[in-house]
Amino acid sequence: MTGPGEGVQGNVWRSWQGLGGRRWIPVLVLAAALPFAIDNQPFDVSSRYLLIVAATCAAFASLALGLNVVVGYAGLLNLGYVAFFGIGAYTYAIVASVQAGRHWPPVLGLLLAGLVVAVVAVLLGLASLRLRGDYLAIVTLGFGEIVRQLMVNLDRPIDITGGLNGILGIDPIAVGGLQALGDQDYYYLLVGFCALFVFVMLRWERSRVGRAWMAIRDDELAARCMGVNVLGFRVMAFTAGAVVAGLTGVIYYSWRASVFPSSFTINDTVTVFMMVILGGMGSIPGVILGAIGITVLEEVLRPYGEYRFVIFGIALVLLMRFRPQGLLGRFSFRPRPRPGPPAEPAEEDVAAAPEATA
Amino acid sequence: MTAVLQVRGLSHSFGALTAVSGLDLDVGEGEIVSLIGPNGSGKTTTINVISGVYRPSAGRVVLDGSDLTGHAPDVVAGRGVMRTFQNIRLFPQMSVLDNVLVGAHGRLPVGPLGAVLRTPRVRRAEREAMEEAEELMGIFGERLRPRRHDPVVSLSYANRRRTEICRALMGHPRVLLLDEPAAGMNPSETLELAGQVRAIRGRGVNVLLIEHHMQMVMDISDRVVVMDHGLKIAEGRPAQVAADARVIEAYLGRRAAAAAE
Amino acid sequence: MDLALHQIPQQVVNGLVLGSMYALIALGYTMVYGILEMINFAHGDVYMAGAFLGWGVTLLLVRGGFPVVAAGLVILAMFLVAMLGAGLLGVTIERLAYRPLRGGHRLAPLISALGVSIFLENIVSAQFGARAQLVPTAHVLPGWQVSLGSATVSFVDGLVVVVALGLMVALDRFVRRTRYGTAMRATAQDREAAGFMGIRVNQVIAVTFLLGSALAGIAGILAGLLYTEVDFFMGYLAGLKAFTAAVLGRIGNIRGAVLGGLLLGMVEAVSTPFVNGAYVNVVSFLVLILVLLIRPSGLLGEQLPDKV
Repeated sequence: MTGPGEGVQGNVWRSWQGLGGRRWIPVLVLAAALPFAIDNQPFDVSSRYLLIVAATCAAFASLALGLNVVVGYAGLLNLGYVAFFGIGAYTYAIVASVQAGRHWPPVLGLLLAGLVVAVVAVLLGLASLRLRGDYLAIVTLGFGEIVRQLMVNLDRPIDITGGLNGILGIDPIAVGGLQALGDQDYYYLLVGFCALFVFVMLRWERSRVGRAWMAIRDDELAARCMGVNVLGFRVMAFTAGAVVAGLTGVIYYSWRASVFPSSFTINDTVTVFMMVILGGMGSIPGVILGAIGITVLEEVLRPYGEYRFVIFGIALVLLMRFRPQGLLGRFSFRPRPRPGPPAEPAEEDVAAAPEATA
Repeated sequence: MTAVLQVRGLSHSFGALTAVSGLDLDVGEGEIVSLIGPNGSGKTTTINVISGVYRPSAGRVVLDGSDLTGHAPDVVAGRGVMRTFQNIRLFPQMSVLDNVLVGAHGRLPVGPLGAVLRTPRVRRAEREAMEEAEELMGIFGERLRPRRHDPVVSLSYANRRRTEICRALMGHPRVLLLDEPAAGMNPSETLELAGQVRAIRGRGVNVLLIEHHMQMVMDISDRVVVMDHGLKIAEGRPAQVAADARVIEAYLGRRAAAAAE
Repeated sequence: MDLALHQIPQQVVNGLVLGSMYALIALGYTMVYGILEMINFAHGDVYMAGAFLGWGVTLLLVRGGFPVVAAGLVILAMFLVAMLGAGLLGVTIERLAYRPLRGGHRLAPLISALGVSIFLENIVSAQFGARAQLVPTAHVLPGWQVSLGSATVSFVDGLVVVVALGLMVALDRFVRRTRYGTAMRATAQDREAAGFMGIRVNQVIAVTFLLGSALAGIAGILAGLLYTEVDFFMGYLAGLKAFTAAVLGRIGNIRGAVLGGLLLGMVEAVSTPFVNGAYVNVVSFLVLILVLLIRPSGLLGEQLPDKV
């Protein structure tokens, strides 16, 4: 990554990571056309199955995008991330499902879920974001475990979460009179949300907010000395990621129509982490590709049961060692470069001396 | 004329080790003040206290009449004190331009909502910041500008120092704290830097400079403050201080001081 | 309430037993953190591996038809196998997943450790399923019991406490009184300087992992004997709690880990009659979060300033 001629290489790097708003339009068109392509596909696979996989990819892409803000931009290791996915889903299910006997307007349920997730994230963030990286990881892990235990145990004395059997009969999403029914509707809904998240994150990435996050990730003290309110921005990143997960949880689980505690284990957290690290931290196209790749891989490896997580485990270790920036990553948890021998010779600077203004 | 930056009775200890003791220091309007002294005399600790990284055990730091003592670094930066670091603390995974832009963080009115909506106000603020970053990088000729999108770790040591200075200037500071900016630079680079620090002063930024390159200190300082073992042992115009026996003794020992007389 | 009070002596015994185990595991966390400033995420799963190894040996020997008289030998064999196995596992993990990342970003080894943890947990759950496996302790352990007031102390209880305390004392002696132990402490304080003094740092780190993992392995067998079952998830839970214990006592401090472990065990045991079963875990995790937020330097530590 260093060496002469870096200027040219740097610009290529830059334009790739740019992938500004307009370049996403072909992607959107492709995504919109996908269900029709699937319907007319020549392969021997069930069209319904392919559509389900595609919709799942969209959901996980959103999750990966959310985690990207937390880990990729702000450098916070939230190992309890999927808990927010679950909190969003459960909140909605508690106010809008057959089992709970409540049928709030879905949009209201969605907003409530978003609010609950945000409040929990802010509280957790304020409490724990003074902690250093590895301690934060453990605390968020503990938090994730607490949430899962609550999901399993809050069915006595009053049944709130349905315990191990979860909540069934979740209401479909509806706006006005328009209800989302069927895989195709939900595919578009999930893709739509994903697109919204991409839009928001592109804007953040190129602004003062994104720069602040990355500064905090790279050198918290220096960031502070430049005027960055570290705690505030950390909570912001944490909460943003959580809200993305929570909202996605609502949509995804209203599609599945049921939610169970067994979906929110450490294996699931690691899966989302794999997407971000494999795809590349800090890179929006990267984590989306990572999400699609891992989702597809999971499907392909499903016959092997838990062994697919064995593979993920090995993959994580190998990634951190040999390619921490993943496929398209702009950032990584790789060895911090130290101020060592200069990449350019000093003579260059001497030759340019007359240019200095006085 | 009251000084822009006033330090009174500053003391700071690390456990049993007293790093700074009873320091009084002023930086006046339009001044370049140099803080010198042998290694371990407490210069960087002083800068760390002024910038809010440490909370002093005693003393006050006042900027334009408002008390900065003990406030967090981001608050201090917001009030108008920006700094560079002895060991260069740039953001390694960001580009040169992005590094510089972070310096303006405190004064850009762009929050998470604004960044998404990109109102005219936000767009203007970001554009102006970009233009100013370009202009600041221009202080160093064409060293930084062509490399603005390069990862900052690919730059030479000297260019990294220059980037750090630009970053600090983006904050429109009243006082700029430079911690050994010429460290690792060769004589011609140091000469150039001296001129650039003067240019910075010409833009209305007052400078407190820690340096070991004596030639540079003598050339550009309006006043020099000398520390040794945490105490201020001399203060005055460069020539005065250079001839001061206590200063010579601190650097070179008692016999050299006697020989000088 | 009367019933609960009546239970307290028993819970104190339970607390001691539980605490001893947490302490054993916590030692591994604290030693590794002291020397590498890294949380060895996979440590809990090494404990689990030890438990499964112990279970495997027990099964083999029981099916091989050992007479109860040879129970002592069986237990000894179990310990040795688990100790060696877990120790080797720990050293291998360090060599493959942590050492290559040394000197880099501090979060990289943590993610690598996460990968190792997932690997171990899922290999076991893929192989043996999610349900717990029963350890045939009846064939292996004497069924002695002793009564202390209203508390009953079984052979296993005593075994756990005696073995754990014995090992902890041995470790303490080793670290404080031997030359190698001094080398370990030196490396923990300043790795670079230790290297300059001629200490083989890589070797010291490997030995640290060996010892910590061996202790965890033994804790695993003891857990298997105590609870008569092992499952793939036991390491995750116990690991989090043992880490809590290590932090509680002051991370990096060996005696602190013992103190923290015993304390946490007591807290858990004493709260068991008052709190619904599964929520006991929640209590422990809350303790973790509270300790990290309020007093991260632990009960024995002082507030450490940040280095600039």
